[in-house]
Amino acid sequence: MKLDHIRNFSIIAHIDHGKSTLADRLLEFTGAITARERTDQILDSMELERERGITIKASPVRLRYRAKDGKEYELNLIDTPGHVDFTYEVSRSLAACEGALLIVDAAQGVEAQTVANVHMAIDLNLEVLPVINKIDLPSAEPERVRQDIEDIIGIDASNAILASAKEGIGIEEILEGVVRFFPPPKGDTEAPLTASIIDCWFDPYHGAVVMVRVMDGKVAKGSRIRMMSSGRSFEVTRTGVYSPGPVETNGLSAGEVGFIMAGIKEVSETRIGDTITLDDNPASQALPGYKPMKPMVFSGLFPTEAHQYQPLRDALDKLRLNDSSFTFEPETSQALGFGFRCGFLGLLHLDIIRERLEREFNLSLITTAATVVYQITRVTGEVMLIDNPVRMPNEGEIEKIEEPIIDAMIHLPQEFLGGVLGLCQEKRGTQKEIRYLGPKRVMLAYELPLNEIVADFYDRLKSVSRGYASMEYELAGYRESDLVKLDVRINGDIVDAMSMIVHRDNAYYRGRDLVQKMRELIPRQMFEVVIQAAIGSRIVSREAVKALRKNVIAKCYGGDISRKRKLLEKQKEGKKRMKQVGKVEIPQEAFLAALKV
Amino acid sequence: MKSEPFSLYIHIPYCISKCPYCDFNSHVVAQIPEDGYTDALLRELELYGGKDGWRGRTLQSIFFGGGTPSTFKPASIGKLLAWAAATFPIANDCEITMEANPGTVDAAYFPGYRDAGVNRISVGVQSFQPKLLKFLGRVHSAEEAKTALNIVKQSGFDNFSFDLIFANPGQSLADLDADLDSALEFQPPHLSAYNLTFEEGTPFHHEYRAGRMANLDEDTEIAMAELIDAKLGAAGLKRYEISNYARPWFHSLHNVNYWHSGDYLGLGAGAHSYRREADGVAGLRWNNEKSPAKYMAQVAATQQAEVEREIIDAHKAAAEFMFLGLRMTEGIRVETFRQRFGQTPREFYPQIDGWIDGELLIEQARFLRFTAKGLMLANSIFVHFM
Repeated sequence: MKLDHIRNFSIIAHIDHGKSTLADRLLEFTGAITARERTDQILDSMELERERGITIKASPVRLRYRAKDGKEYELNLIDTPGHVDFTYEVSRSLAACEGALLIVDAAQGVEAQTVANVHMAIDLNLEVLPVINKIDLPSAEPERVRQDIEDIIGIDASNAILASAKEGIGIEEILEGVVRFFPPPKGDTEAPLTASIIDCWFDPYHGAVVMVRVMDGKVAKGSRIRMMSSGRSFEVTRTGVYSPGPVETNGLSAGEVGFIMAGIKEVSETRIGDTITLDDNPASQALPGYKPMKPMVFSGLFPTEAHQYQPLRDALDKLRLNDSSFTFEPETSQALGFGFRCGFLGLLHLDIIRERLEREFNLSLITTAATVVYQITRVTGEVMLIDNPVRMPNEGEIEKIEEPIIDAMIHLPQEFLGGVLGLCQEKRGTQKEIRYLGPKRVMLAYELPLNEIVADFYDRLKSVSRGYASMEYELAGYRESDLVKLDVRINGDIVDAMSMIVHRDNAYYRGRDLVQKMRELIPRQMFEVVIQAAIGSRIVSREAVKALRKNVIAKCYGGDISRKRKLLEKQKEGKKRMKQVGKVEIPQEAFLAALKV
Repeated sequence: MKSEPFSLYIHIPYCISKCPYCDFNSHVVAQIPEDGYTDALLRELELYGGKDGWRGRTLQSIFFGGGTPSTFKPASIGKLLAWAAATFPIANDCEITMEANPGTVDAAYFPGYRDAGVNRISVGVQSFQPKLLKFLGRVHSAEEAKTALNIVKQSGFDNFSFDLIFANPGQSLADLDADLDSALEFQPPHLSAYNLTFEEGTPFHHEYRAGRMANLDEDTEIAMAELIDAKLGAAGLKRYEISNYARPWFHSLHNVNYWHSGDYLGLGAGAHSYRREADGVAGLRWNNEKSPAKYMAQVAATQQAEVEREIIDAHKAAAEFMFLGLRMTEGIRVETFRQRFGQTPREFYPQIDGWIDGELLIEQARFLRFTAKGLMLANSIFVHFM
């Protein structure tokens, strides 16, 4: 079977540069949807994705397009997530394509976030076609942007298409460009099946829906497929494509993108990047690039009110159906009661899950400080993995502590180099390489402790580079480090949920910042509240919330009694959102503060 | 059938002008419909006098509140009292209080009120300092206040009281001290001293919300409360409630009834009533239509003007018993609570032990009461009873 009529491509863009609008226009132009059907930004289906303007889940769509050469083409648009936490998912989506459209805002120019993804695409041998979007804006400077693309990214931009997705300008040119500029997929329909998993999600009627790019061979209803990483096998009940609604097909062959349903009950059985083959005629080798996804960041999630524990468990179960990359297990805290220890790919992932729990499931939650997994060797020689500061042994029992280290690649405009170097230094980084990619562009390679990244590194990087620096990272291994457990004591009692593991050199500053922030957030109570940060028995910082001395209503007579009682009842309701540690009432915000220092 | 005595509250909702801190049900009208309103009160009185739960019970106190009751002539007050006496048995020592403005016109009525049967008068002085009177939007002068108090005494009222408001923005401790000196010159047997609060819906609250008006700092407010306590105490006026001071035997019986969760019948626009069930645990609270015009129309049509009612179940009743009773410096009688709610307060609210340890509450001579420190934090503790 010839594959000349197929094009698999994705869109790389900075947030707000118009990726989703362009995708909508491509769907409209090819008749996949009518303008009337379109609610803005079809591809970003999750409410949260729309609000944050980022794509969390990739959603491939098939378009039919009759090109000017008279032939009809099958175009598979494979959307990509847009954040550093999901770098791996981006790489698997890109690996399923032969080409990528690079969307650049004609007024804003090239921004950092896209650069790493373009380089990833180039590394994966994709053809990159630049599209300069929003040329209808009065401030558009397409020629300057064209030069930018060549200087900063280092690709030929002479063939860049000028477009305005909003105004529908250049849409046909883009489709023609996809057909002419991107190569058709290669692949051998007769070879044993290899299909790469791009994405998967849970459908209540069909179980896991697995989105794949078939590299070689074919798969159809009735095929017995095998997951090459786990060896588990399933019988295919359905194959199809999205255009943009699901349409069943007779099968999927080499070069094609589509979905497989196979009565898979758990999304965790299907892993992004894994290779699917046939059980009775397996491929000898899996496709390259698969990495099992492991949570890197852990945090406790506790309901503010104890009766929400079961609803929280149900909600976590439901979310996990669609997202096998996060994990949870029950955890008990003296301060916060019953909750769950959850693992995430990164901080954004944590934020997204927490926000979905609060918004979609109407839960009120307290999140504890995010932590990484430490490897601790006790004096007895026993080695343990710690993903919760509470479980850290006493200092005297510890032979050594090792922490996870990442290899980070940071791309940035040269003018921000000083600030970024300073930040990496502060975050205990070790410089591996500093390379000029062009006259104005620098790439830094750093080894950094992951625990510095989960604090505020990403926000700080964005702020010192005014948003222009981008970063990607991968786990590089473990390294011994001088780490200590920093406790928060409130009126002498350790608040277990606020303990964190930090480098000894930073312990003082972290403790001081946290204690100061908490002093502002804990309301005055009937007694003095002393907040301390301590390493073991040594106090490193102390603040006090002065006792409230006067809180009394002056008048209360016959007519006022019901009103005054209702006022008091309302204040009591407010207290329910606070957690009691000893006698002290601590608002949710104070726990959140621990996340931010 | 209940037989214990109860208290009668009569609301006169009219004022000559509305003070910017006041959130009571008061109205300024071109022409006060004194006769019509008095008739409505009488019709209500007649109705409740025949109702189960009130019929035949003895009146222990009557209180004319407002608004400004002294906008009404002694004849109207006399008529109301006469009808009350014809409707209910009246205790020999029934306390009959009237709130009055210290304006010249009002003060001229004081002897008449006395003749009509009023035996206690409570004057809305608020301050003796011209600048504070102006700030509080009062229409009377300091001189008028002094004259009014002299008339009270000359009219034969041996039981009288007046109000002071303190902790006004800009007021100093010396200002308060001077006000207290002026107050004590009249040797009052009873005095109310209210810390200024910004009540929702008032012009002051609007200013407060906009950041243009603020409470004094906590230290100054506490120093003021302590000054009042010390100075009045030395003059023989003991604090018996958060804002009330009296010589022995001169406590306001009517208000003490509120703080003891006793029954009261309220007549007039916006008046509230409360009656416990015969079993003594749960109760019912209701209130009348607030607008005087609508109140009169409703009474004309149906002889009553109830618009809202609330069942006070055992949980609410216990909470109210605590937060009302603890306003009094003697506190609550442990045995009374136990008889009503089946458990002692410490059994009902286990947190009390912690507050006793923290020296906010004290249990002594079978009463549970606030310490001086606890009284200042009353609200922080009341919240826990809800």
